[in-house]
Amino acid sequence: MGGEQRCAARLGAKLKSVGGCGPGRRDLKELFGLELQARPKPCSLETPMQEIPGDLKFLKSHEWARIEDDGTIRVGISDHAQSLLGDLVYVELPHVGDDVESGKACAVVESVKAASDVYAPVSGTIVEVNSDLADTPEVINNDAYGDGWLFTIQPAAASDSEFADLLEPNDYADLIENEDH
Amino acid sequence: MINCTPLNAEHRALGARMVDFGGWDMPINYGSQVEEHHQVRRDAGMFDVSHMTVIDLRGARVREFLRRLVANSVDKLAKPGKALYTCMLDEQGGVIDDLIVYYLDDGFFRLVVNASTRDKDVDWITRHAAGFDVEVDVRDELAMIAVQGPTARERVHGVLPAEARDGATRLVRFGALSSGGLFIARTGYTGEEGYEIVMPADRAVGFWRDLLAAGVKPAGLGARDTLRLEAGMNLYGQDMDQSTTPLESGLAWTVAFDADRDFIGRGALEAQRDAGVPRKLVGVVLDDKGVLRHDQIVASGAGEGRILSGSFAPTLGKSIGLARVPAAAGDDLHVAIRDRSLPLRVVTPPFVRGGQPAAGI
Repeated sequence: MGGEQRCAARLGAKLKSVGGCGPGRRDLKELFGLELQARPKPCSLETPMQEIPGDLKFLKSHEWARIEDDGTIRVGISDHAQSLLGDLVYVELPHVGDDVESGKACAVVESVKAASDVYAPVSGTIVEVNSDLADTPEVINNDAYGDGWLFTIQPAAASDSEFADLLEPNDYADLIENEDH
Repeated sequence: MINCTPLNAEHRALGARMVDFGGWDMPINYGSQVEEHHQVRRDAGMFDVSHMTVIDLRGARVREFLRRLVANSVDKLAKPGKALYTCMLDEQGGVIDDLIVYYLDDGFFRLVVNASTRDKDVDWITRHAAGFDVEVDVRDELAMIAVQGPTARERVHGVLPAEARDGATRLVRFGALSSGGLFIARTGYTGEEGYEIVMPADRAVGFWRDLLAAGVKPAGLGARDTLRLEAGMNLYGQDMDQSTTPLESGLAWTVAFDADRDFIGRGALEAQRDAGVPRKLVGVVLDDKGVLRHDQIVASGAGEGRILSGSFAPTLGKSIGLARVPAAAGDDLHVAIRDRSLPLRVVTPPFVRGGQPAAGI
């Protein structure tokens, strides 16, 4: 249908972030074959966004990353991303031992209305996955920056610059603000 | 350019997430689509469906016109106030839209059609009405609220004026009445009891607030979609469109091949029926983890098919869908989700009945 093509293109422009695109993949896609688009709300009644913890870094595609004390990097999706996706119902995580490459899809989160790829913020090896999410994916909705983490990566030797290149919290906050307007 | 319903500010004040829904600024949810779904299954929820199009048809030959226009038979509408679900077809048997026809009196029928198909519907209806001297009146000034759920009717009764309440209490399923400026129909799109209520735009906010005070919670279009899918109801544009006929969309039950009625598309449907309908629509359940989505490929022994509607079903805690597959396909279906092929269980919709998983689901 022509309508769907138009919609995919507009979504790509608007919400590139939440949709990854392998061939034939359908990403953030509104329920009725129509468009999901975060719309500006002219009134002041919007629920305030959850504050972004200062020790996180971000991908434009709405993943967060945090260096743990042991040097591993913990990864999840932002509160903004979970809010766009709505009720999460299924998470497909990588396996411990998988090698991941920065900027490549390595997990999928699915809400009632959409499936979305999750990209690795740095290259390395998966050392831990949040297997509790298999039964309680809604934890991501409730605590995206805490118990809703997805996996941790042992970064590859050359990945320091990858981490340094991620967005600072303020830059990410600006990004989502601009996305909404 | 975006359209707003008279309830737009109400949605925003209730914290709705608004989306562009076919050119309308509509609430997709008010926080949690899943909670809103359960609210309707267990108690009562309300939906702003004012984006839908109400079309009034008037004229001495309006019944004769509808016998021609739609594939189900308005001859089934024997008493004023009765409603009929039907498809409106083109000459090739393709579905232009699905709609509800209300019989109000012998010179007056009301149609409620989809928002996304509004312009082509109005064009088509107007074009064909000309030959029957039927006046077509698109009622953009009306608002519509659907109240659905096991307690929906009693909660609505509590906010109605006495005369409307007495009438509503006596309504049969798929019956409708007009009273004091309200048009109240015992219809819906969730598989639950309830009403769809049409009113002048300037009464919508007051009515909505009365319902809120009566304990009816707002529910967004997200919940409306999962509710209708659990109820096994088709969605236009996803489960059928102008490139498919009702016979390959699980809607053969809505086509009346009654004698002496030459409805538009009848010849094409009879030819397809006689030649053998090539594809069929089936209900499917995914017992594995994962979520069925529109356009996923379904493999069968008889060839490939597609998921039409697919979603997580909150009442069932797993994913369900409608699929169009070759007519010869058996029950051994698999869906491709990313790099996996998962078995599907073929079932007869509805998936949910009376708020509970249907037998065998």
